[in-house]
Amino acid sequence: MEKSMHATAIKVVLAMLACTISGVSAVRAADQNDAPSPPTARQVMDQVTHDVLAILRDHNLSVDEKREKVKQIAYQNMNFDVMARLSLGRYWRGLTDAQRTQYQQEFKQLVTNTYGATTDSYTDEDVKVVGDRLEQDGDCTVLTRITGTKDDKPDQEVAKVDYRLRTQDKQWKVIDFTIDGVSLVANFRSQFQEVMANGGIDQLLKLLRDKNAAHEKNAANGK
Amino acid sequence: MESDLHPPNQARKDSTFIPTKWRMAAIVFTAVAVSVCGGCASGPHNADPFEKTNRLIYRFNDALDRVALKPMADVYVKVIPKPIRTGIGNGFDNLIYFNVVCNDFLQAKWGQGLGDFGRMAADSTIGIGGIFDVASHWGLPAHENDLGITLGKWGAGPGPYLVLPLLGPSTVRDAPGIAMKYAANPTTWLYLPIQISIPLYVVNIVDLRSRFDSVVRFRNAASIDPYLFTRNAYLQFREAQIHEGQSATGQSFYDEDSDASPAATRPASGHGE
Repeated sequence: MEKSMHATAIKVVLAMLACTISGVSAVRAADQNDAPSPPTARQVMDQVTHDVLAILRDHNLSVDEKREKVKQIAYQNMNFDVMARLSLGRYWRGLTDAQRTQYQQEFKQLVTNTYGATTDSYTDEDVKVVGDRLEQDGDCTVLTRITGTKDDKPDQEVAKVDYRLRTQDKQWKVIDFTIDGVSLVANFRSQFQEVMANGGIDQLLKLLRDKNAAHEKNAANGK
Repeated sequence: MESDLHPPNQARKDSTFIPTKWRMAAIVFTAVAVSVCGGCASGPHNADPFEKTNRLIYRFNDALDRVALKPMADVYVKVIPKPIRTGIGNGFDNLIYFNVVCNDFLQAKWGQGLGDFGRMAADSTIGIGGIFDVASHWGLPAHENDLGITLGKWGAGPGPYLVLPLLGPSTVRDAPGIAMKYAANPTTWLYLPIQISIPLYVVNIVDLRSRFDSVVRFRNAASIDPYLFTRNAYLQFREAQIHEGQSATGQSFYDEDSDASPAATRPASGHGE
């Protein structure tokens, strides 16, 4: 266990908070209907960050309630279909419609479980949107920094999280998170493609199903 | 056999004393063994030609983690109060900090190198052996740096991915840095008897594991194959460290009909929808 790994490892989890912190209220978007233009990607992330931090900091909410509320924000502001498709890469084209639907369902569940695992570890970190960048393909990457008390020192940078957003029906939605240089979609793709190469879609669906079932079992056992 | 070298240590010339030349030999051996075994099998396009062996070692590490490290880390977190754990972690971080300083200079980062040297000096003295990280409060934040990053900046590719027993993920490029980190750690040259050095090492590992726990939990949640998850996260992370935060995923990676492999190429052409 390398030092560099462990330091970042800590960051990665805290950063996954940002993963949990991924959403913006569609409600908010609706409020702004009278505004001349839809919110920019950066405004979307400003709002998401603000809303999620408010939930995490609300002492009147139980862990389960927090998780549920964060999930709602995430569902409104993430494009799971694009994310699922990108995570599969070239193999997507070879799937039947039924396989695609099944895969997308299991994928969404996997991502949902993943940020559920991190909501609990929130310890008053702050998230700041520090920049944004328009990509060649029209996507927008919003750069954020998670800061918090690290090793008893306040205001330390805990992680860099970049959100890649893509427009769909004029609304920006998150299609990838990059935590300290580690893209979640790239990581999924490397896992999924190796499974596809060795066992095909049936094997991939089986692994995803098993994974999600195991998570549910743990949740039922109160873990 | 050893009527030489260090008079002050003559007294400890018993079975618990590991002589200097062994230490040197261990360092050189690690560096050479790793670069030789990497050099003989750098296949094209395959980041993990030793996957079979790597998976075996990964399983061993993982099992060891489950039966020993994780339970020990849990006890450690439960028994030792947070401020003390922070001090212990700071102390170990400070011990390996000379390695950071050296690599700052190897990369011609003179300003950062001086700052990091000052940081180490302040923490080692006023911070009492690094236990109190005073430097961070004085505007000298910690950096991460090591030989693998230096070699990467000098243009070396990662070479085959390696999983090392006990040490975990690495690459042919990164592994020599382990030897350097060991050599740059003052405790290596303090000639501590193994009754002290082994417990110290164990505490170091347990401390690291306890700080790692949330990541392991994340890995367990996000991976359908933890080995592949770890490998990809490690390779992406190291690329990002070398390129200082620039993600290695090229534009066409996000093209819904394309299939650029992540962390491998940065294609210039890339236009999505």
